[in-house]
Amino acid sequence: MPNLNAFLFITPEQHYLMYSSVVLREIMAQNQNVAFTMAEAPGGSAMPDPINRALAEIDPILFAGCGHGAKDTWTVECTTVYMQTGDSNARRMAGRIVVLNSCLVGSELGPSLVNDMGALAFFGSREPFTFYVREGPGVAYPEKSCFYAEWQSIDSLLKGKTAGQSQAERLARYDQEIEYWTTGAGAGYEDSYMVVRALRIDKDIAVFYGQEGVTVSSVSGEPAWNVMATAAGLSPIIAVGTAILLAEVT
Amino acid sequence: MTLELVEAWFNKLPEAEKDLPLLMVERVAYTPRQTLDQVRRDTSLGKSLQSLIERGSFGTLATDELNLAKIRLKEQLSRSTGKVVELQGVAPRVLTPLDLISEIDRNTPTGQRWIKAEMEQMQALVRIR
Repeated sequence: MPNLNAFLFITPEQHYLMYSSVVLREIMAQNQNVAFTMAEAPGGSAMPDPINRALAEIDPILFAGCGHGAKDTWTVECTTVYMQTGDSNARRMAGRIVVLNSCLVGSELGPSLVNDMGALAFFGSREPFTFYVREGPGVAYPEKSCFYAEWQSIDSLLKGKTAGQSQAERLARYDQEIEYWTTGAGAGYEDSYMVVRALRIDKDIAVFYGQEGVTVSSVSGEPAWNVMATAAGLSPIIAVGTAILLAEVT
Repeated sequence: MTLELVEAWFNKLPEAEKDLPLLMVERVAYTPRQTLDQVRRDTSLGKSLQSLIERGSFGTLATDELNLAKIRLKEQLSRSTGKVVELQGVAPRVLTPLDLISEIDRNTPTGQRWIKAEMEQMQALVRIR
């Protein structure tokens, strides 16, 4: 049985994935807690071998990441295939809650992880995930809006919500973002039109499978403590006790 | 619904939406500003438009609603400066507004998703209170 309070985040950066990863990192930073063991495979570390080493080391209840995808395939950095329906890496998802921000994986891979591979729950998208781009990653709110909504499930899970509650809050966050760009402070933005349509598309394809009552944490409430370190040249992913160590491979 | 309620509805709409076609009566599309004008003048057309707002509907025929969504999408996309990205397949698809207009014209899966999103947004706009 994977470890409660242990989480692995996969954050590739190439091929427009940085737009998603920067928002996921924000949410990770906001939810650090002394009780949590959080590991991240960032950028060049978001590759199959480092990911599998981290899975073996911390055996996390939560496996979350962004990547390009197809119905039966999820890729990581530089579109390297990590997992396909029924393969050995898909079997590694047994007992975990899996959250993938990726196109199409919610139509075949996701259901298979839950129904055939023993994953507890799966969050994903059943058609291409769409987002607005004009500025660079993490620079401005319009580029982040779709990802705040999509990664709301992670924020909710880390705050102790059940998978079912997290899915409901994910969909509600989409509504909040749509309202912000339609009648709220963002309505005057010149491309609010495109942001809203992208949000509506993503909400419409947001799927959840699995057990609604499961959680990733034995604690709830606000973060009590945080440590974040960045180290260059260390092994790609190291989880030290309750600290987060972000290790970039140079 | 009184004139005051139609005015309140109009005032809550985003500025960019007030001059875009939103409501259809007998296959003719009207903007919210034209609608408010007709309701203020108490015309029969105004009553029909007001009735659509009351019902939270933006047209009378499904085909008209579909065409209206396409017209709105093309009009707004032709003014947009950003792009959208789809996290699809082995590489991302980067779509400019012109690409999206082409997808809509060719009724591709991407075009259909944008039309569906547009129709949902139109319904939300009509139902603003």
